[in-house]
Amino acid sequence: MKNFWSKSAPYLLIAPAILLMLLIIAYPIANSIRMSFLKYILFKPKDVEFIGFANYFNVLKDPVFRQSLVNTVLWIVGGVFFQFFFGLILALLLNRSFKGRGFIRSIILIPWVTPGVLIGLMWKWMYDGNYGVINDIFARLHIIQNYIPWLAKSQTSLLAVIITIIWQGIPFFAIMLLAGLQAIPEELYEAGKVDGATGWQTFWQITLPMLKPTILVSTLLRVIWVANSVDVIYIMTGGGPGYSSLTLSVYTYMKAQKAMDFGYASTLAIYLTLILSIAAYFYLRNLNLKEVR
Amino acid sequence: MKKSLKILSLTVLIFFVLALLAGCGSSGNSGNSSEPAKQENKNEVVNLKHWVWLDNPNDPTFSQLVKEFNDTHPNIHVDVEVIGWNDFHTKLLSSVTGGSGPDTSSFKLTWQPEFIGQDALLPLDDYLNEWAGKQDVVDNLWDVMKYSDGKHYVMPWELQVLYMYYRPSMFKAAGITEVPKTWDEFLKDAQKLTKDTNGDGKIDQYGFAMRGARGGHEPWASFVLASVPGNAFFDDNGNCTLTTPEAIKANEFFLDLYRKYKVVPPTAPADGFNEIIANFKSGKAAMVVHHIKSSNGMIEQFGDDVGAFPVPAGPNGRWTSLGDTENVIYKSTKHPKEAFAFISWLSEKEQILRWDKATGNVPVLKSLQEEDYFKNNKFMQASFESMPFAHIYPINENMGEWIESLWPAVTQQALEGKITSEEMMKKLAEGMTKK
Amino acid sequence: MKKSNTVHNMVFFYIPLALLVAFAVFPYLWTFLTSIKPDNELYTSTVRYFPQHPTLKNYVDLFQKSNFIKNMMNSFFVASVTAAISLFVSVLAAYAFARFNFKGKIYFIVSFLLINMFPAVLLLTPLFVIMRKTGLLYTPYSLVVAYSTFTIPFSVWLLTGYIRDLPVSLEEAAMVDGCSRIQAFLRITLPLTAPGIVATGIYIFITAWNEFVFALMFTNEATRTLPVALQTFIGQYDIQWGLLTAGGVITTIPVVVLFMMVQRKLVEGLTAGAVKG
Repeated sequence: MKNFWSKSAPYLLIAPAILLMLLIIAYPIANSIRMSFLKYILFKPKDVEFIGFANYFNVLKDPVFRQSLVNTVLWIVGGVFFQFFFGLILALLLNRSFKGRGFIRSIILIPWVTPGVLIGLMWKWMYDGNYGVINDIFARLHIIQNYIPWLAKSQTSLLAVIITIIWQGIPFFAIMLLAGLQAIPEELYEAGKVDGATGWQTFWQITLPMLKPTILVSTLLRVIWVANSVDVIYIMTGGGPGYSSLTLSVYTYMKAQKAMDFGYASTLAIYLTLILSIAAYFYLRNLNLKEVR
Repeated sequence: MKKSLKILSLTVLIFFVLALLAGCGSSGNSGNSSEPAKQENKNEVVNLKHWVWLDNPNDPTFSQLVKEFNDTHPNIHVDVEVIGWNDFHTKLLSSVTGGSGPDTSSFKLTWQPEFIGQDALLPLDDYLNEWAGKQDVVDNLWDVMKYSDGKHYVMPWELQVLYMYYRPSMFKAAGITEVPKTWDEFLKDAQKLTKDTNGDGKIDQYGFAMRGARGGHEPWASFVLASVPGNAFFDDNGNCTLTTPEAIKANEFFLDLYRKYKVVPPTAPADGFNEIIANFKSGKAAMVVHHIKSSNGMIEQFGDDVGAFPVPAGPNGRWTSLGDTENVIYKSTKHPKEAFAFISWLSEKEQILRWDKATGNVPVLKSLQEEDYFKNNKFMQASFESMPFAHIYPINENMGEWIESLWPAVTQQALEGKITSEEMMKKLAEGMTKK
Repeated sequence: MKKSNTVHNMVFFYIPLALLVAFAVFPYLWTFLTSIKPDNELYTSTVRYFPQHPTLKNYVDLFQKSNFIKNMMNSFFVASVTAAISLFVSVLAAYAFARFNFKGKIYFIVSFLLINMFPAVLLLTPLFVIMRKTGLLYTPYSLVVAYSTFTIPFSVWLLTGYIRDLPVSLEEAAMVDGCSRIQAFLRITLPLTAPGIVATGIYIFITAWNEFVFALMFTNEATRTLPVALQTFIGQYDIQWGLLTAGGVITTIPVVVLFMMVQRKLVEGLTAGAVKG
């Protein structure tokens, strides 16, 4: 009896989560996979036909897909790395005790709490090449001579949206890592102190290794989130100029919501999922999932 | 310490369980609360759901109109839902496809293929023939609004015509005495207007606020189609005119405003309507193409120092874009008769007059255009003058993607010099005609 | 000694903190400054930082003429119920993933991740039909259900990470002391994971608070949440900058205040006391 209990316990524990997911999301995803094999334009229900892997080949031949793939990689790597980097610094700073800590911790949350629509519009306005506040500040500081039309040049548009997403994501890492820092037992730091470790050594030898699981998981989840984020880019540049800031998720969004081509959009979505899972596979080998500590 | 922990964790757990139970319990209730709508039918009151987008959701005019309609039509109750413009089309199309759309809604002509393709719109011809206001609708409008199958699915409601706004004081300072009549004059004037006004060596005023982002296809077509014989996207044989030498050359002219002459702000490729209006309002640009709906804001900003004239002509005359909003009825409605009563009431003379005064639309009724209020308004005059050469974009199932993503992308590429004018026009023609 | 300490503090603590905080807060301040500008000061040829005639008109309009408070209540309800349900379900699952070895474990946890990778925009239409058929459409629960599908996988992963970070020896010790597994979970694991749970709860709450795509489709005027309400200020030919920015400023405040109340849990947590005790 005890044996049965301990054997089925994990299944019972995960059952609610699994059931909820299965009930709600299994059919929509299966349906999407089905659509990827169809010529399926939402408003032409009479023209739906099975076309095998044609969508998959067409996507590979699509130059817009290829450019958006490159942009997606830059967007994810650039965006998530700096979110993490500054988020970690912020977490370490906020982990110290100082006056007004609670207040500071709360207001740094603001970028994360702001709805995407507003983030897109406000940053677009701040970047504006004629009367944008960013140009004004840079000009006052003599960093630039002439105002730069950040969003109107393909050399700078992707950079501009990446900076915006970095801004948006720093609080996420700060909070997640701050929570992770709490799980590090005080004794380890005390032991380090006894051994005469400097702050720098403590960081590399105690904090970072202990934080590793949290870092790996939160980075991975953030990569997925950033890869799928649409609103900031869509509002700020619409993927432009040209296709210079078009990511795969924005492309999927436009194909689904603007062209209503669900067959093609589903295929794009499946490619995005495949690419992310391959990346996750290599990434997760660092994180021994089976291990029980 | 330990005890308080126990209590805390227990409370947290209990809270979760309760929330879970509460969630299930009240979801059952709320399912019921949507029922009364159906029960009211017994009292012979017909409920209609109407979806609309508003440029200014704070303006009470629309809800006042609907309230009046409800008061004067005791057997009908219209419920209005205001939805943001950006997502109106998405929400409407997905909801109608998903089987839970409204009974009536505001609508754009260009959306017709998507909805008629899935047989979602109710043809209005039978009702329209009975409607008293039919003859009063502006000439040609019924033709423009006829769908390719010969039926009418929309009830005219709002009209806007694109024309050129300009700043008389800037024209005067640049020594320009007359507004440009042709695109060549326009360029010369734009060059005079592009200058450094405060002497710091940097250009701070441009001739024209070009729109290179989403929505820019409308002013753009005024440049291109003015050069095309017949002023249309397709010639009599059904071939797309965008790849003709005339069109490519006119497009080159448009691109060169940014690339060569630099008479438009350097932000042009990324500028949408909000930016071009901001450029004009902040004095960065002396001319901008837009329509009557911006006029109230312009007057507020500049008082008398803003004027209007029809878009300049090319070698083959003028072309400007007609903006439209209509009302439609969905086939899924259980009460088509009452639905038509509502949307036709909105388009009656008194209602149109009030609506157009509040929102600054061009009246869709001939009798109203004669009213002093509209006759004495210089922006209305520019609109009326532009009516004879105002057209809509072709309506076919490719245009949704063409307008939303293809035009901005290839135009921006051409503005940046990544593709030539010819390549741009080829891609645009392809996108418009693909099967 | 003391002086060099101050310099050290300045360089490695106050200056980076100030810079990061300034970066985080500046766009918000800019939004606020915009919201108190009268309409005719919005467009000026040079950048003007402070309005000449500041006004609270936009805030008055926001509360008087629009349903902003109702929208906020809707958002609050959806976000808290989503957080409660997702946390409850996820804590259980995460505990199983972190502390048990069982058949198929790897498939379950990886499938959670895969679900999260799939772009939501394609799930919209089928989910819409499901919501309509179950009668949940246009009720707040449709959002709770839809949000759970992406907050649960995410939370399970996060919480699994946090639980794995805890030395298992603590629980074992408790079990040796005569606690049952459930007691050990309730008395040791749960309190010790409190910072992680709070952080995850914040994540879920904010995600639900900000979500737009589903909220647009699954709500009507009565159940509309904040991001959708904000979007109505953007017209086809006009952006109501005043209302939009005022709305944006107000939208963030409840969450920040809420966070101020729970943030102590996030850090002081219960770690130190419990481990030592």
